[in-house]
Amino acid sequence: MASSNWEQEQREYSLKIVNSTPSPRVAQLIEDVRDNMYAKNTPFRDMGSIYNEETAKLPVIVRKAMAERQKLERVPVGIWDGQILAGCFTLRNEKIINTYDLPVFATMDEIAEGEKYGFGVYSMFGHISPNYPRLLTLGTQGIIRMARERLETAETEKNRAFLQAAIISLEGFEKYAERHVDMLREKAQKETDEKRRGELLRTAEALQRCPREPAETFLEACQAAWLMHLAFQLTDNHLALGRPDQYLWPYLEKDLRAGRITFDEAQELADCYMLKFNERAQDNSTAAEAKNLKEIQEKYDRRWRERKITDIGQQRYNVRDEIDATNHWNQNIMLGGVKPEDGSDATNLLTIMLLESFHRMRMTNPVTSVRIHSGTPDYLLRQVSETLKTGGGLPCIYNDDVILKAYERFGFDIRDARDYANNGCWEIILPGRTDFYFIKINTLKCLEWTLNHGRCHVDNKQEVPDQGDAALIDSFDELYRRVLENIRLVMEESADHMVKTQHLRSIVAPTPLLSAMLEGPIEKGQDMTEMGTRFIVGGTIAEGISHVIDSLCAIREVVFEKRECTMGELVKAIDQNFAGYEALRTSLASCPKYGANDPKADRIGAQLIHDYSAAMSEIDAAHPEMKFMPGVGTFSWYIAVGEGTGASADGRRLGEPVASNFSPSAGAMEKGITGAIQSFCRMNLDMLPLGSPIDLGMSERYVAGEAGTERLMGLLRSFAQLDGNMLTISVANVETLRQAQLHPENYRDLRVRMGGWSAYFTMLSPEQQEHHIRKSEAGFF
Amino acid sequence: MDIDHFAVHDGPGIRTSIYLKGCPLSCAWCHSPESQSPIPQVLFAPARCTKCGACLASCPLGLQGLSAEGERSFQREKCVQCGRCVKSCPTGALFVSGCEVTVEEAVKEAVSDRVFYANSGGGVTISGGEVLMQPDFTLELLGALHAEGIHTILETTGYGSTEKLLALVPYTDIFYYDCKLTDEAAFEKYVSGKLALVMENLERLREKTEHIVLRVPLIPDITDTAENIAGVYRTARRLKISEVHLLPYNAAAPAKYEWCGRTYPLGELSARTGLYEELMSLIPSGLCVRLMK
Repeated sequence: MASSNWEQEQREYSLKIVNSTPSPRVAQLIEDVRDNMYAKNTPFRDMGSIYNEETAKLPVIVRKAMAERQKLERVPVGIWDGQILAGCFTLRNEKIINTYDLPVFATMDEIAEGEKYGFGVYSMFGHISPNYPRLLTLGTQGIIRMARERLETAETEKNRAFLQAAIISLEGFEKYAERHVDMLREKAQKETDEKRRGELLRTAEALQRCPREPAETFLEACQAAWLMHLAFQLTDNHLALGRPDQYLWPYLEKDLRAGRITFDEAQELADCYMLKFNERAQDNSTAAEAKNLKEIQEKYDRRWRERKITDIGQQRYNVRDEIDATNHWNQNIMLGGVKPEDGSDATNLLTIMLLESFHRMRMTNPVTSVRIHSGTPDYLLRQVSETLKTGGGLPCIYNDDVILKAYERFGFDIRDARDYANNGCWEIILPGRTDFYFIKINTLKCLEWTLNHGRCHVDNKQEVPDQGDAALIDSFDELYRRVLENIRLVMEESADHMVKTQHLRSIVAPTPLLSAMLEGPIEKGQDMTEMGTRFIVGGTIAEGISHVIDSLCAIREVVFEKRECTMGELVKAIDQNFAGYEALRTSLASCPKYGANDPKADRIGAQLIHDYSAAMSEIDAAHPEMKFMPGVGTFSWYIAVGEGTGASADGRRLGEPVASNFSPSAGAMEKGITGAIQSFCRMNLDMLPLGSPIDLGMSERYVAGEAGTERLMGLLRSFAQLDGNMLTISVANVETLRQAQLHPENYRDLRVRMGGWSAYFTMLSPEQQEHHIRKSEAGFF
Repeated sequence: MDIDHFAVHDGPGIRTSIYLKGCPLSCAWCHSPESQSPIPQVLFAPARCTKCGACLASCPLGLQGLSAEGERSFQREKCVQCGRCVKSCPTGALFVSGCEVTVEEAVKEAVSDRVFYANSGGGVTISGGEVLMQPDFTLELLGALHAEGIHTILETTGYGSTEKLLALVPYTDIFYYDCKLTDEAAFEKYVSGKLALVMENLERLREKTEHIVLRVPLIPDITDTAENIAGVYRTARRLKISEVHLLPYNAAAPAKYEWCGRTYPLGELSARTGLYEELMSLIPSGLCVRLMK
């Protein structure tokens, strides 16, 4: 192919693809995957144990590796009819669903020791992204060679144990691939359809070479990357995918240039790859049936009663939230952005193809995000806009120009920063080289403590030290100082907790397979849980911050400027949850709010984010063991955060939900979506490297037709230009949501954004459904 | 006045719509009856009311009522629009339509979205009510936006002073000109106005500018008849106006009448099947007609 021709063909394909239809094979698979969500499958739980008198003498990390290997040697392997890629979490024909259960490997002593620090054998945090480029360029054999070489110079018993463990777990993964080769060949032998037999054999051939050896073709790369992800899921590692449009592209490009694959075949393979991430999805009620709801609720209630300052989230979790989150496993992919080496635009044909796969399948996985920047081509923005119009709030938009600044501010090299992706719900990390942990801080609680002697209004528990009688606070500055002091207190305690416990995961939950797939552990001879990864990031994510801004703004105006009431009266009104203080509540609620493009509220917000981030920089400087960085958000816990928080001075009543992530509170967007974005962009977002999405929504009529697509593209460009960092836009229609409540069977592909991922609307709890309907009624939200 | 950011149906790109209150006409189908009165007005949306009773004590004239049976009442005819009940309402069931602003305030708010206009080919649309009810304000506003380099669209019924209308031409990028009915008697009956003035103004406007789009709200059996629409197309051809917008019937209009304590005069209506195909088939060559779905 001549070079200019080649560029042009790609461009043309990128422009027209959004209006194309899936191949018959893919159309059928989309249907099959959706049907599978409602199927009753039997969980496979026969994991056995690797623990015996003999192995008891081995270090726990070696036993863990043996457990990983045994799991991969034992679980059923398969491929669905019509699938090109082998390896399934759910075996459709056999009606078996896999689990993340591991064979027994830990001693009772280890389990007891781990429990002291809150860790168990399943204490996989999961918010990590493996190094897929390493897998594809070295192959498992290459990585095993690295480990063997390192073993020769290993200094300690511990180093040796880890390196041996890494090799064992990688051999387990190789075995898993081989078992698929055997399965495929066996199936091919029985296959009567010539074409299908050829396909099965081709996949078998790909798997036989790769993951053991470096990938050569697009099929090999997709298959190996998928199987790696699946192996992680089976061994209790719920991980993100990083930037597949970057690490899979070289193989596709080579295939295309050599004429080994057509654009249509490539798209079909991309579709098959993306569909794979949905095979695990289950109808929420099926998932609920498999759980002991009462026991889980008791566990959450106990956790709430016994909560400590550093417990992840101080909110009141509910089993409802767990069921709603059934189909979320941190399976994030990040598309687009810039190239690490020179910062030039990284968009390629595969960026568009993967996004199109997500667009056409109308599913919730993988959680898809797109990086944009000032040089992002229009055709990518168009594809993003068209995809957003199908609802569900994905892809999530990340703006390189601001995020890179934030990473540099926290001391990262620009070439590392340029390679950022996301994990968990949306937190920004550098894939393949980061060990990550975070603690959530309910900042609205920090304000509540200031007003209520350090106690919680919901159950009157003393949560932090009393800062004194709030009725005596005589200036806004003093109030602000005390709130910040509380925020800082939780941040310091959190950082301290992370530094003290991060390496203790190794007692009972080392991760040899994952560590082999990260930058750092093999080089240093240390497991990820022994602090072996190149970057170890600890974060705090601030919840409820929009309400803190609104509350501070309201107190300043009502108490200290207009003097409509005293601090004492305000405190009483909040204690009483505004009962008997309706006029005061109305007065507070009508003060300027964050999200209304009002400088009064925005200035407080910008100051608060500045001070929050500056505090984190100081904490970071004091802890060389880890890199500490801040973010803002609630994920999907906006209802739970509210349920655990008393009334607030912005007029919000006790227990009412808070706004999701860094979105304006309900009803605050008086200047529309554009006003909300402008407020948001004033929040010193380049000081929040972990991210802080604003979640916006609009009714379908705002984005209808080509004019609507162009409007959305304009919105995205403006967002980038105004220095926003992260944006989700949900397109929803109240009428559709109501119809879906009445006739769920007709709306199986209707999706809504949940603050951290997308969910099928018809599977959600009634509370969440109502929450989404109420939000959508305004037309924009 | 009311301002709507990220408005749709009022022109290309991301736009801010500024609605000036007050209209000399009273179209039977008016989809914003709250815009007819020239002053800010307290509205009541019963669907949002929880009957908490907070508004009862707030009204200095005692116009808000809640009977023992839970029946809410609001004596609007005596309301002086003081807004106290709106402040007391926790759910937003009572709210105000419109506010008084200076030209500077309106321009400041519109200009704040400048980045969005630039990135989407958008701008500001000034609409009503009827902009010619406040011609000096409109002129000043358009002039200021024009000076800021912002794309402007003016939406008008054409029912007002010719001179004031023509004075807007230098600052208006596109005129969206209502062309509801082409029959004089029907115009009188449904719109309560004189068609001749509208047509006269349109002809005079056309002499000054070619940037005019005719817009027709498709009201079932009133404006959407083949005869009427063909008449609109003929008018466009005769005056060498190249673009016509057909606006599908807004089924949500009746809800707003409830807010104003009025009854929607036309009852339940819907577009007849095959309507759009039929109207599109009537288009004479050289005329661009867009259905604004």
